[in-house]
Amino acid sequence: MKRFFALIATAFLVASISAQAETVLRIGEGSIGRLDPHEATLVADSILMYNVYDTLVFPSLDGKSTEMKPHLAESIEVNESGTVFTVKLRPNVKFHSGNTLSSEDVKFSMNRIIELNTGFSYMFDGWVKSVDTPDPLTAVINLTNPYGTFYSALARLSIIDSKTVLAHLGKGDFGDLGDYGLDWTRKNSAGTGAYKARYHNTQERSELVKFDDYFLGIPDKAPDLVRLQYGQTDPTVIALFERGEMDIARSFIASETKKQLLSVKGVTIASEPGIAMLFMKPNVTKPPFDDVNCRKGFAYALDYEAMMLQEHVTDKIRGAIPAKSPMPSSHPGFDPTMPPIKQDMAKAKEFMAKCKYKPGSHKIQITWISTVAKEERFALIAQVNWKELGWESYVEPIVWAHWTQKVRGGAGTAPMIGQVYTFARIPDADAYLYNIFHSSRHGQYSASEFFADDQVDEMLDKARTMLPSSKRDALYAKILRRVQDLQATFTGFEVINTYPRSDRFSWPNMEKPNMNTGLMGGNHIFRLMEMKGG
Amino acid sequence: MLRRYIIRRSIAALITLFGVSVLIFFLARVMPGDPAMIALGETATLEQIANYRERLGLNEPLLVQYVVYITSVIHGDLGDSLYTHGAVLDDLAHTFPATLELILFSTVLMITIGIPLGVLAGRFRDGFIDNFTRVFSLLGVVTPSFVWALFLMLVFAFYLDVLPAQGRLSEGVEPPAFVTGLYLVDSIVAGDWATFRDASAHIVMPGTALAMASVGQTTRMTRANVGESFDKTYIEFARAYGFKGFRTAAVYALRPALIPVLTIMGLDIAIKFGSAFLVETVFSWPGMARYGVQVILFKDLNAIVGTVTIIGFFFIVINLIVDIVVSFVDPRIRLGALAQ
Repeated sequence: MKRFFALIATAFLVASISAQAETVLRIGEGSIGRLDPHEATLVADSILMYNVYDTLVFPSLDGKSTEMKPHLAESIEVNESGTVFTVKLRPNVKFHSGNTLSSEDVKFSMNRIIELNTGFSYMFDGWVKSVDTPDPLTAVINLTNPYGTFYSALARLSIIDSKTVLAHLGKGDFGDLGDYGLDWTRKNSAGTGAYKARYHNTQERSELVKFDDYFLGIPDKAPDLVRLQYGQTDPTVIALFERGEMDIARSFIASETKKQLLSVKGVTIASEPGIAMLFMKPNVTKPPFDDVNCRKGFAYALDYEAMMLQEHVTDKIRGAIPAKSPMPSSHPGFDPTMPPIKQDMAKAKEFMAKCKYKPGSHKIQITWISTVAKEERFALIAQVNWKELGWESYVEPIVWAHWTQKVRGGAGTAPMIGQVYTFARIPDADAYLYNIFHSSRHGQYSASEFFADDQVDEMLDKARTMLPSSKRDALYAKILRRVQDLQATFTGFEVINTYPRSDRFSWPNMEKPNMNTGLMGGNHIFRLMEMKGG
Repeated sequence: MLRRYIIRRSIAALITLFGVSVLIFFLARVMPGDPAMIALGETATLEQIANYRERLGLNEPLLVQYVVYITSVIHGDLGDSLYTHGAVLDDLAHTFPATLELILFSTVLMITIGIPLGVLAGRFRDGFIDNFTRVFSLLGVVTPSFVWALFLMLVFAFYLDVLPAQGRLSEGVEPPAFVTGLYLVDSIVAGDWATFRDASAHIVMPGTALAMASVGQTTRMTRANVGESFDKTYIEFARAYGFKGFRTAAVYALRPALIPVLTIMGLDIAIKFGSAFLVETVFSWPGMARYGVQVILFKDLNAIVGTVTIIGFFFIVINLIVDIVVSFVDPRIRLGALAQ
C-alpha cells in the first residue's frame, strides 16, 4: 500500500514539475508579423527574424554592443580594397530541419534576398556581384564596389536553409525557382535560430518554441514558448496586463496608456535608446524653407522639450532625449561633443531677421500622418512656436499613402513640412544618413527635404566606400556638422522606445546598456531572457 | 414560380457584383499612393521601387492590368497581398469566417432580442416595458459600437475578470477541425464542448458590442410598426374574433410589421462587415473588417479588390435572402415582381 501511495505521490510530483516546466512569454504587437526574413520590414518582422534565423554577424553583446562580431561566421576577412569578404562559417550549425549550414546556404540566401527585391534587399542589391563557395564552410562575397556598410549590413541577411526551401518551391515569378519557397517560408521556419515556429499566422499570432540543437545552446531558464499576438490595441493591452496575461507590449502605444499600466502590479517600463529619431522635415526647395537663415530661425523656435513631453511616460521614465544631430547616438560616427538641439528664441529671431522672406509672405503647411496621433501634437506645438515669430501656418492631416505619393511626385508636390519617425535598420551611419541627405535619394520619403549639397553628396559617397574605422567615423561626424550647419532638416529628438513589461522575466538587452544591439527588433532576443517561475 | 424569381435576382446580383469589382479595381488604382513604394519601405531606392512596380505590372495600362487580374481571378488567384505578403485568397479564407461568425452572432442577438422587445413595446405602448425599451434601444442606437466594446471590456474583462479580452480562443486551445471556419459551429460538429465554451466566452463581448446598435434599431422599428398594426382594422377584427393578446401581437400584428424591419435588418447585417472594424480592433479579433482597413491604408491593391468584392458579394447575398424572405412574408411582393 505504501508503495502504491509513493507511486501516486511521485506521479503527482512529476506531473506538477512538467506542468511548471513550460514557461511562456507573451508579447503584444500592433501590426502584423511576417515570418519570411527576406520580406521583413516591420518591428515584429525583425523580432521574428532574430529569433528564428541567424545572421553572419550580430552586434557584440559584451561591451561596445553595436559593434558587429561574427555570429554564424567564425571569421570574416576583408581584402584591402574592401570588395571581397571571405566568410568562414562555424562548423556543425544545424537548421531546424536538421540540415547542416554550408556556404551554399549563404549564397542561396544572398541571391534570394536580392531577387525577391523586398525587405532589406536594398542593402545588398547593386553591391553584391557574386558569391563563390570554394568549400562547404567558406563563402566569398564579391562586391561591385567598396562598401563600408556591408559588414554591418550582413546583420540583416538571414541565412535560410536552401535545401528545405528548394524542397518547397511553389509556382511563381522566379523561373526554375518558382516562388522561391515563399508560400512555405511565410508559414514555416527554415532557420538556425534559437526558436522555431510552431504556429504562425501573419495577422493573428506566432508561437515559437525552443530549438534544442541551437548552435550556441539555450539556457533552461529561457522561455520555452513565446507567443506573439498581433493587432493589439491599447485597451486590450491594459486588460491583458491587469489579468496577468501579457509580458511585453509594443512601444507604439500611447504614453497615457503606459502611465496607466505602471499602476498595475509588477509592470515596469523597459527602455531602448538609440534606435529611432523623430524628424520634422521641411521641403527645402519651397519658400521660406529654401533660405538657410529661415530654416535656422524656424529650428531654433521649436519647443523641443514640449515635443519630448509627449513621449515621456513619467518625469523619470523618459521616452525621448534631446538630439545632438540627425542620427541616433548609438551609431558609430555620432559626435557626442555636438551641442544638444534646443529651443532658443533669441537666436530664432536673430536668424529670422536675416531671412529673405518676411512673415506673411507665405503660409506654412504642417502635415501629420493621420494614423499617428502624436504627430498632430508636434504640429500644433510648431504652429504655436512659429506664430511667436510672426509666421502663420495651418495643420493638415494626411494619409501615409498620400504623403508618400506627394514626395515621390517631386519637390513641387512634396508638403512643406512632413513628420517621420526613422528607425535604425542597422547601427551604421551610412545606412541612416545616405537615405536622408544624399541628393540621389530625392523622391524617397526618407528624403522628403529634397536637400541637395555637393559637399555632403561627395562626403557621403566617399564615406560609404571606407571600411569601418575611426577615419570613417570622423568623416561622418563632419557630415553631421555640415547638415546641421545648413539646417538640412528639423531633428525633433532621439526616441527612447519604452516597452511596458511584466516582472516575470529578466531582459538583459534592455536592462544592461552594453547589451543594446542598436538594431530595430534586435533587442528582443528570447534566448537571453530568463523566466522567473512557472 | 419562386425558382424563376430567384434565378432572375441571382443574375441581377452577378451583374452587380461584376460592376462592383470593376469599379473598385479602377478606384483602388487611382487612390493616392504608390503601392510599390509603401511596400518596400522608406529606405528602398527609386530603382528598386521602379523594378517592383514593373514586377507588379503597375506600369501597364489600366485596361491591361484589369484583363490580367480578371484572368487570374477566373483561375482562382486573387493575387498576393503587399501588406501580409501572403495570397489574398488565403488571407480572406482566414479572416472572413472570423468576421462572419461575429456578424452571425450579433444577428442572432438582433433577432432574438430586438424583435420580441419591439413587439412587447408595441403591444404595451407607453407602459413600463415600452419606456424601458425606448431607453434601451435609444442607448443602443446612439452609442457607437466601439464605446460598447470598451465598456464591456472594462466591466467583464477588467473589473469582473469573467470574460477573455482578446482573440477567438484562449491560449493553448486548438481551433476545431475546419468545416465552416466558424469556431462555434465547427466545435459543435466536432462534439468538442470545451472549445465551444471557450469560443462562446470569446465571442460574447465583441458580438454584443457589434449587436447593440442593430438591436436598438430593430426594437424601435418593430415597436413602431407593431404599434401601427394595432391601429388597423384587421387587428380589431382579430380581437372581435376573441383571439388572445399574444396571438394577435405575434401573428396578426407582427407579420405586416416585419416587412420594413426585415429590409432594414438585411442592410444592417451587410453594413456590419464595414462597421465591425473597430470592434475587431478592440478585441484583437482576426477578422476581415480589420484586414480591409489595414490594406486600404497600405494601398494593397489586390487585397482591397478582394476584400471589397467579398463584402459586395455578401451584401448582395444577404439582400437576396431578405428579398426572398420578404416575398414569403408578403406574397404580393413576389407576385408583383413576377408580373413585371
